[in-house]
Amino acid sequence: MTVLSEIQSNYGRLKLFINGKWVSSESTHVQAVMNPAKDEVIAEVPFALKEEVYGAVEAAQNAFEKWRELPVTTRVGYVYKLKQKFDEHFEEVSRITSQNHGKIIDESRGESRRLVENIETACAVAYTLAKGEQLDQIATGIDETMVKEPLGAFAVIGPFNFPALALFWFMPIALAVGCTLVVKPSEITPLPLQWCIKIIEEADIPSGVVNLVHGSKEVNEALIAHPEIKGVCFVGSTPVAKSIYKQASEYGKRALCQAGAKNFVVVMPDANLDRTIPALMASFFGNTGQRCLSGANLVAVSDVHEQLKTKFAEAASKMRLGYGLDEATEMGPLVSKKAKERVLSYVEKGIDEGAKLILDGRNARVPEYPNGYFVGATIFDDVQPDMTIAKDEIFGPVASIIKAKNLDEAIETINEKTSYGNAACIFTSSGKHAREFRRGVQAGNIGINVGVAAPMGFFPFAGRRESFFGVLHGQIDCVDFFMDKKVIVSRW
Amino acid sequence: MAEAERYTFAALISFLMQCENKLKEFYEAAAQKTDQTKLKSLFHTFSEQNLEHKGKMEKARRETLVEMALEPITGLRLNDCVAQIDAIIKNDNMNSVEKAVILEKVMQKLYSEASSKVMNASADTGELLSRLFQESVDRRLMMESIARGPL
Repeated sequence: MTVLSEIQSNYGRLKLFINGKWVSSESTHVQAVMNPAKDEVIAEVPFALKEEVYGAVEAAQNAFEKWRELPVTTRVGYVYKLKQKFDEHFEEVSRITSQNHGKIIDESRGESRRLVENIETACAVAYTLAKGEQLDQIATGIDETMVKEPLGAFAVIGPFNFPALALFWFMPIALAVGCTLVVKPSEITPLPLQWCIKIIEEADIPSGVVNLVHGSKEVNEALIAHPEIKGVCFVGSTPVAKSIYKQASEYGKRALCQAGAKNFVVVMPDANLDRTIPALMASFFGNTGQRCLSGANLVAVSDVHEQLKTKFAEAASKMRLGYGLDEATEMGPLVSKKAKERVLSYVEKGIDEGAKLILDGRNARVPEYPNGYFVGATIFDDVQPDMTIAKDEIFGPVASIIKAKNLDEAIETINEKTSYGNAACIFTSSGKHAREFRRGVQAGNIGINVGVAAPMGFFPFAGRRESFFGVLHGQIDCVDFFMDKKVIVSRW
Repeated sequence: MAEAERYTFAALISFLMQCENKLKEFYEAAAQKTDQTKLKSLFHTFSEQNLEHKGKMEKARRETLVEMALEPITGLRLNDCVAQIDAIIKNDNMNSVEKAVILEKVMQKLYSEASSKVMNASADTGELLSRLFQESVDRRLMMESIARGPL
């Protein structure tokens, strides 16, 4: 089967993109960027200095004054051109995503597809949701009008697991409604976004409207602290999301923080298992379990347990591990050596706590890529909801099977045994069960006979409890995040 | 019974493109061999169509995936299919038209089965494969009518 070629084998020392120019960071703090399938350095990422971050913010603020004044049709024209350019460079972004993150090429192409869908959505919302409203004669001879205005420069901070897409939940909408940006990708997977910025440059978006910095915690803090940054969008783990939300609040700024997860997938005795099992493979092991919508706990209700366990383990044991650019690969490596160690430590913890390991992926090997950070599909049975492996976000290909007597018990477990609320899924052939489930569970994204409840760009990316901090969610919801309302009461 | 084959979406489409390529080469060679002008032209057209199909599949493979529905694709026996295509092309006991009829039958079955398998992951690709199924039916009918009498 075909192993696709890499766009480049090495990307050198990454640059910052400030005010329309690629600049070398003066920073001496540099981190290696890896190809996780090969344990090979493919770039170096500098952690930007505070003055470089500030330079990016000032460029964004200066550009805002002109960008917001452009007619909406002109701004949308730029965003539409961005879509065209992404269509042209679609495959490059996808392959770089597989090379840097490790996910399989289908997953990377699916990610790129959703990225483009978010750009398309932005073109639409600029003409619809960004509009104000008016009511005549609210009192004799007096009319009242509400207009929406772009707020200014925003920071967007991305996660490692969807290294391009997650930032595009926000970026196109911000641009379409008249805001400007400083964006920072994960330092582990900076390459896909770096490539996206080149595409933005090719779309001729004016200098300073989008700026790129690299780094970690210090860069995030500098961005949030800068007085010209009006708000921050973040996607990542719950502890960091909490911290960013808190910092932004201290500065009186807007914050939209999509955070971690521990998602439950419930299988009812009336589920069609032949259709359920493939969906469970995608849910638990897609993206090597490194997604905030992944299934983590599989709740087997009543007597479906034995059959579900056997079929689930059988299908999972056949997953082909390998390099994401090999089209035959069904599951790629974990993103880093550290991530692999973390996942393995959770497997040990599960064994120590008394869960039954029925599929052990710890010794998985891929002969062609002996140094890759691979962990095979791993399944625990007899997991109790209070065990660490059932509560913590493992972020790897580890599934925990939990038994429940009935649907009520399953819903109660979801609501009471985890503090997260990103997603919850049910597999059933009963409309009644599906309805009870969607109404009863405290999670933002619900899957009914769907294992990855990923909202499209024209819906909000929901999330509740410890999985989300803020009011307005990502994707279409964030139109109002980037804009403020002004009310005009007039009499002539 | 051999173990069922499992495919990623990309791998399945690559297989189909490989089949298209085999047919393209077959029709090219068939066009070279025949002296009948109309048949030569028809084989050339088929060969060009096979090339176009590859292009369309390549685009669909890249750009139309619904990432939330990436489930393993099972229930297809693509290795058997490729072996069947190779065997038909190499068979010295049939003429080009007879081979074309059987090859198109193999492709019809393949497209019909694959189309329903990819519909969740990519509706665009599912639709494309349905269209290719129909095209293959039309080609087979054309070849059958040629086989029945002079062009």
